[in-house]
Amino acid sequence: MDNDKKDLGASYRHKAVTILFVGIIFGFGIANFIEVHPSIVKVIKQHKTNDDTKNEISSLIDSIENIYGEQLVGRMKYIELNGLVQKILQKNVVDDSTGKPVIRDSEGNLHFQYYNDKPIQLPAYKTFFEIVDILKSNNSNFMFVVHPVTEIKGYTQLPEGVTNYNNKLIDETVDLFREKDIHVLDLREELKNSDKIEVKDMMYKTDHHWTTYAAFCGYEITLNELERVFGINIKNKEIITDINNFNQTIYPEFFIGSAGRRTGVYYSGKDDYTLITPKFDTHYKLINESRFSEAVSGSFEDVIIEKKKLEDDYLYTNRYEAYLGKDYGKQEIINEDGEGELLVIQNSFGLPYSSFLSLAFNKVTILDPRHIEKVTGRSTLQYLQEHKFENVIWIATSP
Amino acid sequence: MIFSSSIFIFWFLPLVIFIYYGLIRNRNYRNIFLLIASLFFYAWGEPKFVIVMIISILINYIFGVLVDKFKNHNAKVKLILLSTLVFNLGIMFVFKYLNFMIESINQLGVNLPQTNIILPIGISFFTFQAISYVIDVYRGHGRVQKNPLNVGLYIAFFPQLIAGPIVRYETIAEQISNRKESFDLFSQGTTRFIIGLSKKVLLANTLAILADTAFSLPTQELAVSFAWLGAIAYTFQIYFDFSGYSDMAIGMGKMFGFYFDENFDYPYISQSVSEFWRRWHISLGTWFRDYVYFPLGGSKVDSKGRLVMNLFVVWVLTGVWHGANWTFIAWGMFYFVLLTLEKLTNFTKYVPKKIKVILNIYTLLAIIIGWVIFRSNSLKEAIQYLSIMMGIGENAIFDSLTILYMKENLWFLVAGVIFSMPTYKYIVNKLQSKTMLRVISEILYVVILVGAFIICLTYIIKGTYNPFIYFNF
Repeated sequence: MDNDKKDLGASYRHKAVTILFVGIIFGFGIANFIEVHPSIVKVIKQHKTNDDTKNEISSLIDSIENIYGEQLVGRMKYIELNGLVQKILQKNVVDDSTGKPVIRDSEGNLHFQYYNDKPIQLPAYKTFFEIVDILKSNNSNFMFVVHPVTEIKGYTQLPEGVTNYNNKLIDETVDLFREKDIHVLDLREELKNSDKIEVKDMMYKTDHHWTTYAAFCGYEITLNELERVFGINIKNKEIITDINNFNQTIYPEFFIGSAGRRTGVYYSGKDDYTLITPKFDTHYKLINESRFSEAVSGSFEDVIIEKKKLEDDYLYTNRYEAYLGKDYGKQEIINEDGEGELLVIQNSFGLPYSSFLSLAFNKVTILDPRHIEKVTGRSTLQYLQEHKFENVIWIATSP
Repeated sequence: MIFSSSIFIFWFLPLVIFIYYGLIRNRNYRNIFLLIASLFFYAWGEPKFVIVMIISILINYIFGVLVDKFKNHNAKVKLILLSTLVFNLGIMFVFKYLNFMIESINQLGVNLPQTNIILPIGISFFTFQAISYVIDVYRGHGRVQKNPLNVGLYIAFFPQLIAGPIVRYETIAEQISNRKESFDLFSQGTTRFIIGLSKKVLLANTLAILADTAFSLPTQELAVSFAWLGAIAYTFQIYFDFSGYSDMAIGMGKMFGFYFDENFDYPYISQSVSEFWRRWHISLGTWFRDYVYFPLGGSKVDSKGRLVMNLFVVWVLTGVWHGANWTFIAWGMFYFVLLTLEKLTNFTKYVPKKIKVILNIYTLLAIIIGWVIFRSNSLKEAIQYLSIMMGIGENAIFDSLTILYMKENLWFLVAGVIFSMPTYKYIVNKLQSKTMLRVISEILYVVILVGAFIICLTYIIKGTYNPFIYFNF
C-alpha cells in the first residue's frame, strides 16, 4: 500500500505537518469567512435581482472569487512575506497577476514594465484631436504637458534584458503632437535639465508618481512656459514659485507607493514624503460635488490637503493622494488671490501639480477623463463642446 | 475551481473536510456528500457542463448494470461495450474534436461552418474513467455498482476530476464502499497535498513565465540560448505542474480514505523513451496499455508489422487524447517512432554501463524536443522553434534575455533539477543509520513543508501567474 505506513518517523512528521496545515486552513478559513461573508451576501443579493441569470452565474462565480482574492484577512501580510521571499531570491523582476511585473533598477527604484512596443494607434487619439480642434476654434491657449515617468532616460539602469517601452511610446506621442502643431512641454526633459532638482529626487522609489517637490518644480516650469508661449501674466509669480516661501514638512520613511503595495515593504522599502504648503496667506474655495455637498473654504492647506492621508497609521495608505484626496471627475478651485482661469485635464500626476497651479489662477477647473462621465454625465469632449476655457493644460503621457 | 486558489484552500477544502468528518458518520452519506461536493466543484468552473457530466454518469451506470446482467451473453455484451465506447468517445468527439475536424476539412477547400461548442475541462479524464468502469465491470475487475451515486463518485470525485490521475475502476471499486479513513492516512494526504501544491505554485508557475515568454516571442527575436532555456523551462513546468496536480489529487484522496495509484515516478531520470513512458503519466499509459494495446495483441504478436501497427494505434490515440491539434498528433507520432525504434532494435541495451549517461542525455533530448512540439501552437511554430534550437537560421546565439531569465530563475531551475530526481529518497536512505541526523531531518521536514505551504499561500494570495495547462485535455 504505502511505504510511509512502515515508517514511524514519517507518521509523526506527517501528523505534525497536518496539525499545522489544518490549523492554517481552518483558522484562516473561518477568519476569511467572517471577513468576506458580507460582501459575498451582497453580491449574491445583487445577482438575485438581476434577470439575466443565464450568463450571470459565471460572473457571480467570478465576483465571489475576486472577493476572496482581494479581501482576504491579512492579504498585505502575505504580500509582504512574498516580497521578502523575492528579496531573498534576489529577484529584480517580480511577477504580478496584472501582467505588469514590478522591475527593480540598479538603485533599488521600482518600475512597472510596459511590454507594448507597438507604434501608437491613431484611432485611440481621435477624441484627443477632436478636443484640440474645439480648443483651437475657441482660441484657447492649449499646452500638452508630459509628466516624467519612473524610467528616466540616461539615468535609470534597468536589469540587463529588461526592455521597457514606456518612454518610446511617449516619444512617439510627443513627435506626433509636435507635427500637428500642438504645443508640448516635456517635463521629462525639463526636470532632468533643471538645476532646482536632482534626477534622483524626481520620482518616488516605490511609486510610479513624481515627488511633490518634482511636481512643484514642474509647476514653476509650466508657469514660465505659459508666460513665454502665451504671454499670460502670472500674478506674484516670484513669490508663489519661490520654494523658500513654502513650508516643507518631511515625513521620513512614510510612504509606500503603487509598486511597493504590489511587492510589500520588505521588498520595496519606504519613501520619504514631503508636504509642500504655502507660508503666505491664501484664501481658497474648493467645489467637488463627489466629495463635499457644498463648497469648502479656507486656506490652501485647509482646502487642498486631505489630512487623513497623512494622519493614518496604516503603512500602505496612499500618501500621494494627500493633495486633493484622490482622482475625481471634476473639481473647481477658487483662489481669491489669483488671476485668470485655467482648465487642467489630468491623470493622477495632476494632484499635486494642479494644486500648485491653483496658486497662480483665480479659478482652476480640473477634469479627469477617466471619471468625468460619472460626475457630469458627459465625456471630456462633450464637456468642452459646452464650456469655453481661455487656458487649457492637459497633463499626461498620452491622451 | 483550481486547487491553487484561495477559495479552494480557505473555503472549499476545509468545508468539505469539516462536513465529511464532523457531521457525517455513515459511509453512504459520506459518499453522497463527496459526490455533491464534487459536482459543485465542477459546476463552479463549468456551470453548464455539469449537466454533461451527470448524463455521462447516468448512462455509464446503466451500461455497467447491463454489462453485468448480460456478462454471459457474448453478442449482447459486445453490443453494450460497443455502445459504451460510442457514447463516451462520441461525447469526447463532439466536445473536443468536432471543431478541429471541421477546421482540418476546411483546409482542404471545403467550407463547413464551425460550431460554438466549448471544451469542458477534464472531459478526457472523466470520460476515460467512465469507460474504465464499464470495461472493468465486464472483466470482473470490480463489482457493478447498484447505486448510481457511487458511479457518480467514482467518475466525478473532485481530487482527480480535472487533471487526473485517471483512476481505474478496479483500483477503487472496493474502496468506494469499504475504505477506512484514519488520521494517519489523512496526515499522509496533507503532506502529499502540500508537496503537490509547492510543485505547482513555486516551481511550475514560476518557470511557466520563462517558458511562455520564450514560446511567445516573435521567431526573429528568439536567440538560440533563450529557445533552449524556454524549452528546458517548459520541460520542468509541465512535469511539476502535472505531477503536482497528481500529488494533490493523491493526497486529497488519502484525506478521504482513498488510495490512488502513483502517476509519476521521476520520469526525467529515464534511460530510454520506453522507460520514460513507464514513469510519466502512468495512469494514462496503463489505461492505453490495458484497454487498447493489450486487446490489440500488445507486443506478443506474430509479426513485427503487427507490433508496429499496435504501437501506431496507441500513439495516435495518446497524441489525440492530449488535445485537438496537429501538434499533439505529431507529438504522439514522434514517440511512436522512437518507441518503435527502441522496441525493434533494443539499442539501449547495448550501451555499456560506464557510459549509460549517454542514454540519459538521449532520453532527455527526446523529451525536450517532444515538449517543444507539444507546447507550440502549430506544427509550423514547432518546426521554427526547433530549427532555432538547432542553430538553423540567422538568429542570435545568445542574448540579454537569457541572462535576465537565468538570473531571475536560477534558484528555481536548480530546484527543478533537484526535485525532478529522487534526491529526497537518497538523503533519507543516507540518514537511515544516523539517528541524530535523522531526528533533525524529521524536524526540518516539518519546518520546510509548512514553510513551503505558507510561501505557496503568499503566491496564491498575491495573485501571481497561475496558468491552467490542461484546458486542451
